[in-house]
Formats: sequence, structure tokens, C-alpha cells
Amino acid sequence: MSRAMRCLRAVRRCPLFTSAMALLLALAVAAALLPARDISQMENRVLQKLSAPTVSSVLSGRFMTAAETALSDQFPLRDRFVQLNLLRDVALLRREFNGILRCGDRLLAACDALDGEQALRAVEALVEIQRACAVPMTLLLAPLPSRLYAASLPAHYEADDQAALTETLRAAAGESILFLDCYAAMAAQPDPEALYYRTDHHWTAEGARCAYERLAAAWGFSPALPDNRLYASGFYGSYYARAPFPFFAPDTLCFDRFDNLVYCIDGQAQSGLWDEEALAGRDKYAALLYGNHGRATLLNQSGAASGTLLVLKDSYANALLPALAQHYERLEIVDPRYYAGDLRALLEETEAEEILCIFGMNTFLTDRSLSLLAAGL
Amino acid sequence: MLFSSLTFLAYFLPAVVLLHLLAPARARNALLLAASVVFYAWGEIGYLPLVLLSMGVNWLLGRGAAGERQAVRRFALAASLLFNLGALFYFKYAAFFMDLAGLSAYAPQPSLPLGISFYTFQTQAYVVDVYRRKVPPERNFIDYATFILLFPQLIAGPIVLYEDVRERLKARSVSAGALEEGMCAFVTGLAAKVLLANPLGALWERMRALPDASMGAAWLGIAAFGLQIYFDFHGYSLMAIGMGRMFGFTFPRNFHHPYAAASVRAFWRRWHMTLGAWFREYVYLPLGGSRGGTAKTVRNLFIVWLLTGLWHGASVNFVLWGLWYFLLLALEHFFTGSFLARHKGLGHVYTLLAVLLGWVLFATDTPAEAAAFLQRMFTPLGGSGALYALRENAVLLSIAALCCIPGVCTSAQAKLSACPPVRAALFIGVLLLCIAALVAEDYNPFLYFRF
Repeated sequence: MSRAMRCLRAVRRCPLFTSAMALLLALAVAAALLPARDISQMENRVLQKLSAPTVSSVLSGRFMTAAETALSDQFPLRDRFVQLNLLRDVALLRREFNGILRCGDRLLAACDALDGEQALRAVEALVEIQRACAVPMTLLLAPLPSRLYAASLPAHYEADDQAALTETLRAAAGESILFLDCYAAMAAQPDPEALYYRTDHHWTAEGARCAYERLAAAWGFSPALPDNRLYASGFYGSYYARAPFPFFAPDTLCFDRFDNLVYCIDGQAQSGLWDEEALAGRDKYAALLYGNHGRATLLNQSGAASGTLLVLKDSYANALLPALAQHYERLEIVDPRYYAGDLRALLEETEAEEILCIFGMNTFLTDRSLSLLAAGL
Repeated sequence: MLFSSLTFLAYFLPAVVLLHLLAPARARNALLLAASVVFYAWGEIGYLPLVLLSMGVNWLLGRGAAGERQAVRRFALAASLLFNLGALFYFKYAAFFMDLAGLSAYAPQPSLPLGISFYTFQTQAYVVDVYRRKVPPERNFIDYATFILLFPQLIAGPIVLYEDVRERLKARSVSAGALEEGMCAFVTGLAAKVLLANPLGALWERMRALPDASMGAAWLGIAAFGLQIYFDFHGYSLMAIGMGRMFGFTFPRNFHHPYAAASVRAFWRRWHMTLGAWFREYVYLPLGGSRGGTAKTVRNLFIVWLLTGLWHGASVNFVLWGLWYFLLLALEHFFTGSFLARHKGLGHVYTLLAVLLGWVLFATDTPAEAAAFLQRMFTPLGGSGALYALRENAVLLSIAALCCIPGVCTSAQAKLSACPPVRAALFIGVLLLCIAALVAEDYNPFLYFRF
């Protein structure tokens, strides 16, 4: 019998061994031959690459740890394998994956261990900022989508009491800040489902408009109507990035356009109100106002409005600032996560007479930059 | 390098298995030895010299223990005991005992060398067996080194004795059947670890972290822990056995459906079998076993279970865990054994309960934590956590429970063995799911771009 025939017979006697070895070797070869990836769009981070070993890195063990991370980061078909893993969890009838709950056709972030203490510190930081700056301050707070869609949460899920948390924050804001929670206005809308994206933590143009109208009611101005609306389909947001279910329908990004505005980042005028390149990517919300920057300005070219407003914000504001800009000559925009300057000096420099804070509850629960900003005053 | 890691699965194991198959018979042990050294160095290069030293010293002492002169033989045995158990004591127990004695300021704090509990027992057993003339000494250093350092069983067992591998070290063939059975066992073990143990571990951690766990949540948590530790350890042992088969070795079984035992005695003949066998062979029987009357038997049981507890870790909880089993086994030996033999149903329930309560000690860090957890298990106050977690994990828990039943496992195995292509297709699917789960472990999305 020829050698080939004997090999073939042997292979037929151990089909699992042969196919498993073929699979594993194919993965190893593919990993070795494919070019290394720099960035993961899904994970929003830089992927580690394999670097050459040195005597010191091997003896200290650092090379091995880095190599394992690199080999995992550069594993072939990485994103597909993550989706396969999710299919397994779906087959096990589980609804929570990587901190995301699958509720019908909507994804929600887990909300059973919210850091209320952190949120309280954020509000206290705002109170400190208001005292130091001595100008009127309003806080427009976007609720977590899981508060609005609590009815879709899985049965017996022990969600934290967000209403109680919001009341605690309102009490902490006290008399110094005008505290505007958008929840009541949103819950009263005819179609609450349309207010937040299904795959992302942000609100839609409708949700932002609801918040804008809430602000208009509190401040006594008539809400302006948009010139047009931007639509971009195929939007897979942050929740989807954490739990990228296969066959999950994407969102359509929508954005209210106002064409009489000029948007500047650090003094540099931009060509429009959104980043076309980001709009072509996965995280389309990040295209709005070119994402988040420490300092930006929205200038109203129509000449119909006057005054300057300082806006302290996170990414939620990006959807509604163009509408707000209709009522002022300039909006001076500060994102505390990327801003390291002196807010008081900025107020003087820009001659703003009021501060509007637009934040999602999301940011209050996780971000410490407001406390740092307050400490810097 | 963990067995359940992408690096091992894709880059290390297939290469070594393939090279071993293609290598000429003379070079096979050297190849395995080189691979094992790389494997250990990858995980813990700092302690590689210690492992090599331990192996070298014991090889020499093994040859000494096989000599003709009784004095030399006795010296070799004593020296090996001093060296091996001394090293184990220093790295694992010195700090613990000094803390107990109130001397924590002077306690050394070395990190624990990888696998020291396993290879120390393995190597000590070898010298004792040579001394007893149970096995001839291994004169070839490469072969001996291969036996001790063989990577499938070096880090987490099973505790392989020299007589288990002696002949295969010298001459082995790897048949297609062995490769197939080996890969089958490996994939089964990998699935047990990655698809069952890991999510069950996450469930336990979740229940443990609840600030006000209800009674249901506490029981759910400890049941999850019990299942996790079984599939984790059994999975690892199966992977080791599977890899051994693919290299032509037959390692001893380490688990045999322990949760189907009808008494604690039976449980310990089915759980971590190689450890139980080691303690029986090298501690219990040399002390006299159960042949010296009641007092001596109790004493011997006490010593064995104290040491078993300590072997698992240097903490009071592990000692208490060992003594918990001493109590139950002593009771079974003298009183309850025959009753349990006649009432198997009751025996099953009693065993599961005894083991679960034991796991509370094993799973917590301090006696106070264990007591607090036990209180939650037996106090029907309100509190949170059980219903949602139960619903989320119902299917997983059912699969895990089914996999503990001997009848289910053996009939599944028999049906699949009857049709190798179907088994191959199914196991490849399982292997893909395992790879997917491992990739997902490192999947770490950020909300905003991280530079």
C-alpha cells in the first residue's frame, strides 16, 4: 500500500483529530500571514501587535504577557468569533451579555449596580462650579434609556431605582442649580420608543427635541424648527459594540439640521456640523459636531439672536446644540472630559452670562471629570 | 500559558503534537522536554531554575535510593523528603504558619511557583517508590525530566506516578485511535472548562457579591461554585489526559462522576482520585491505615485530612475544610457507613449536602466569611438576587446537572463513539464555540476611543 493510501486510511480513522488539527493550524497560519490590524472599530481601541522579544522582556515575563495579548488581539476573524459566542448565549436563553440586556429589538445597559455616589459627586461638583462662577446655572439631565423602557427589562431583573436617584440629585442641586430632568416629558410623549436609539446609549433627534422643548418651557422661549433632517442608516451604537448580535437590525441616525450656523473647534471653523468620515463608519453618533472636544463654539450667522451661553456638556448635547444655538449669537461649548482650563477665566473671556449643563445620567454615573474641573477652580 | 487560552490552543499545542508525530522515536522525549520547558518558562520563567533543580536533585537521589547499601538508600530518601517537602513548606506554608504564630513581621513572602504542589508530590512519590523497590530508577536524565516536566500534567495534575508512564517513556507508538480518543478527551475537557465552568464561576461571583443575598441566592451561588470547581478541575484533567493520549501516554483518571456518590467516602474515591490515591499510598497506609484499632484509625484519618486540606491551600479555611471531611469520614467509617449503603437515595442527598457545605469553606477566604455565608444559606429572610439569576442561567445549570449524571454521560459517549464522523462534526462545533468564548473573554469595547 502506498504511503498516501496509508495516510488516508489513518486520517479516516481519526476524523476529529485531523479536522481539529487542521482548524487550529489554519488559524495559526492565518494569524501569522495576515497583516496586523491597528485599530478595532468595534472596540474603539488600538489593538496590540506582536513585538520582538528582548532578553530583559523575556526574563521578566513581560514579553509573554504582551505576546498573549497581541496574539489574542490579532486573532483571525476576531469580531466574528465574538458574534458566535453571542449566538451561544442566545441558545442558552440568556438575555444579559457583557453588561448589555437584550430586550426584544432594543439593547439596554445593565442597571442593577449604578454608582449613585459617583452621580452625587458630579452634581456636587456642579454646585461648586456654580458657586465659584457666580452665574445662573441650569442642568438638563437625560435619563438612562433603561429608565424610560423599564417595562422591557427582563422579568425579575432588579433594576436600581432611578427615580429615587434623580430625586437625590435634585436635592443635592438645591437652590443653586435649576434642575431639569427630562424623564417626565419623555414618558408623556406619544411614541417613547422613538426617543432613544436601540443600539446606543444616546437619544435620537426626537429625544433631543423633547429635551430642547423641556428647556424652552423652563426658560420661556419658543422652540425653533429645524431646516432639515440628516438621516444615516446602518448605525450600530455603543450597546451593540459591547454585544454585537448577528442579524440585529441597525439604527438610523437622525440629526436636526440648522443651516445658519458655523461650528469651530479650538477656533478652527469646520466645514459643517458633522464629520462625513465618521458618518461612514460604525459609530455614526460620533459624527455629530465632530464628536467631543474640550473647547468648541457654535456661531449663529443669522444675526437674529444675541448673547453668549456657556455650555458644559457631554455627547448627549451634540444632538440638540444646533437648535439651542438659534437663540444665541454664540454658544461656548466645554466638554469637561477633555478640558483642562479655568472655567472662571473662560466665562470672563467669553462674557457668557449663564451656564447650561447638558449631561446624560450615563456620564454622571461613570465620569469623574466634573469633580476635577471643580477642584481646578 | 493556560490550556484554555488562544495562545496554547492555536500556537502551541498543534505544533507540538504535529512535531511529536513526525519526529523519530529517539527524539520524541527530547522534543516533549523542550516543549515542556518552553511551556513552564512561558508561564513562570522566574521559577524555571527551581523546577529544573528539583528535578535534577530528585533524579540523583532516585538513583541513590536504588543502590545496594541501605545507609545510602536511607540517606537518599531522607534527603529527598527534606528537599522536596522543605521547598514546598517554604514557598507555600512558611508565611501561613508564621502568621499563626504571631511572627508575621518575619514571614517570608515568596510567590508560589507554578505547579509546585503537583510536581513535588509526583517527584516525591518517585523517590519513595524507587526506595521501596516498587519501580527501577530512571537512569536516562532526558526520560526522567520528560516524566516530571511533561506539560499536560505538570501544572494541574493528574498526579502521574512513574509506573504509569515507565514503559511508554521508553517506547511508544501513537495510533490513529489514540489520537482520536485523545482529541476527544481534550475537546471535552476544554468545553467543560470554557463553556461550563467559566459561566458558572461568573454566576457564583455574582451571587457572592450581592450585599443582601436571599436564601435562594446563597444556595444558587454555592451550587454554581460546586459545579464550577468540578468542571474546571475535571476539564483540566481531561485536557491533560487527552494530550497525554495524543503523545502516546495513558494518564490515570482523576474524576469519576463524583456528584453521583452515595456517601462521602464514595465521593472521595471519585473526586481528585490521584490525590486521594497519593495520600492513601504515601501517608495513610504507611501510618497503619485502619489496621491499628479505633484510636489509630482516627488518628490516621485526622492526619491525612488535615494534610489534604492544607495541600489545597495555606489558609485556615482549607484546614477546616479538610477537617470537615475527617469528621464525616470518621463517622461513616464507624457508624453511618452501613446505613448509607442500605439507603442510597438518602445517601445521595446527604452527600450532596455535605459537599456543598464543604464548598462554602473552600470558596470563602476566612472563617468569618464562611460563617456569614452559611447564615445566609439558612436564614429565610428576604433579600435579592435569586430569581433573575436563576432564569438567566436555567439552561446552563440544567446542562451542567445533566453532565454530572453517569447514565447520561456514558450513553452519550456510547452513541457518539458508534459514529465517528458525527462525533467529529459535533466536537468541531464545540471547539469553535470554545474558541469563540476565549476570544470574547478578551473583547473589551470602550465607549470613547482609547489612545
